[in-house]
Amino acid sequence: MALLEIKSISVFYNKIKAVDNLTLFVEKGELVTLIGANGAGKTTVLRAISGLIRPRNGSIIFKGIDITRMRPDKIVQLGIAHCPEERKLFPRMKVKENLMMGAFLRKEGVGKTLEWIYSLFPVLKERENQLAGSLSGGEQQMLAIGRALMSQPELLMFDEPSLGLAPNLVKKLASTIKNLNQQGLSVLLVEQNVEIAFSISNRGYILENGKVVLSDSVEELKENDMVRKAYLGG
Amino acid sequence: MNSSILLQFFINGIYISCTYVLVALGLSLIFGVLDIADFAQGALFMVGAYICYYAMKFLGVPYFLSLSFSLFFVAILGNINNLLVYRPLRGTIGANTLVAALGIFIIVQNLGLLVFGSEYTSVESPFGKAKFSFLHVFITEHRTFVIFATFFLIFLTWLFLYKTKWGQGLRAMSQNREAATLVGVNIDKVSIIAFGLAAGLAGVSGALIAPVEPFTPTLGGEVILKAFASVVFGGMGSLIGAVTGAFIIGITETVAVAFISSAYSSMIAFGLMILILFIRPQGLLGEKV
Ligand SMILES: Nc1ncnc2c1ncn2[C@@H]1O[C@H](COP(=O)(O)OP(=O)(O)OP(=O)(O)O)[C@@H](O)[C@H]1O
Ligand SMILES: [Mg+2]
Repeated sequence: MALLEIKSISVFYNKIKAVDNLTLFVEKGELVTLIGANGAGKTTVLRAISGLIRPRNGSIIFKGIDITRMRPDKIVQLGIAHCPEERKLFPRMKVKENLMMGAFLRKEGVGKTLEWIYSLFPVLKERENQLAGSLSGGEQQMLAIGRALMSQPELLMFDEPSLGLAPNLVKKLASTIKNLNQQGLSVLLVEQNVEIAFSISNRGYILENGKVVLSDSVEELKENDMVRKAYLGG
Repeated sequence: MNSSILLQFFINGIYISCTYVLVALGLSLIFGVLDIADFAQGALFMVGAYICYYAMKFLGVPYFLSLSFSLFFVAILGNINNLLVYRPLRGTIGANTLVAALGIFIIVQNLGLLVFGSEYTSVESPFGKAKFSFLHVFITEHRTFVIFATFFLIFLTWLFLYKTKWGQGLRAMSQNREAATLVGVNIDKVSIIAFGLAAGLAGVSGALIAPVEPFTPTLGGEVILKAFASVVFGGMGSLIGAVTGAFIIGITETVAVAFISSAYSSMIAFGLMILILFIRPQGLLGEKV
């Protein structure tokens, strides 16, 4: 059984159908990417998994447990972390306070995780007493990832982490995500930067108007004519 | 004009500010977390004064203990408000909660008139009518107690918000609701804390000033207006802003009343509020906790 299994969910915002009968799975240890244009429904899928919005039908199973209607805090406790679109830091809290918020539901071993995150992103240690709102874009992204990791997740979901970063930072970010994945973290990566997402992922789903139109290994997707035309610039 | 008169105005101003700063703090707290301008807090302030009175009269509880009765029962009332009215309205347009908040204020005030009656009620201060005097400045012992107790409660609120886990959770919720939810802060628990804290502060604040002057169930009206002006002045949702706003308004008001006329006291509060909206639309400090 896969780590995360989404079985034909549909998600609505009032009358607007944002996700249409979507099925998707992530195996333990996999790095899976979800690709789609603006408004395709990528963020909505992640929000449904995190419990921020309820699917109207279908089910979401994590580690064999039905989480479709579970409260967001219970979902975090089960081991899913969500690094949201546009980072959504706590701007008037210090860097360290932001990280500690990531461990809100944990009781033990928080100090160790914090040390590990500081070793991953030394700049966060340097700036631990600075307000999050005063960080540069790249540092903010590191903080958002660090905060998500503080809950010690088994599955980490990223929503367009490359957005607004300079090209060299995007490369660094990609290798960070790949590294985390190689240390055993399962990843669901939402991206519009298709090239960078394909360069680190095992499998991918292509989303159009809330529907999965294609899903395959990244090698196959790269060779697919439709994908090349629509997402890889020919 | 000599300096002891100025000092007298200043101290009177501090005292006046202390009559609504805790309500301002609570308004700001609830607004920060839930985007609700909870005018009902004014009515809860009044209920706090009456709980203090009845606890002393019928239970024979001493004044200092009756303060905690007001705190506790009004904190529960604040949560009942939330459960019955605001929570069902969550997700609808903001104007709905605004109308509801005003509605609760009026209903509770009218219930107050019905239950408590419209005659003046007075609570006896444990300090009697004793006064302090220093440098030709006079202040009753009870008002001094109100000032110290209010500052102490502001300090405790600060400790809670900045030094405890759920205080941090509440601040996180007010800075970014979605992110706070994603790290596992539960909005329902935070709402219970925010309403409990805000209403508890309003209740104890009403009980603190109850012995100062005889009062009726319309006690909360002016308090909520000035608290609201303080919150807007300081920046909606900013706690430091609400406290700063309350003191600036209270002191300005006292000084202005002394020089012009007491008829203008509320006008000063709202004049300042409108003035700051022209100069700095986001309020003096303009940021949430
Ligand atoms: N809060 C909302 N209320 C109403 N409609 C919404 C809301 N959020 C998203 N939508 C709609 O749902 C659809 C899917 O949006 P979603 O944000 O999931 O897309 P996305 O793939 O993440 O897009 P982007 O790449 O721009 O982030 C869009 O048509 C969008 O307009
Ligand atoms: Mg999106």
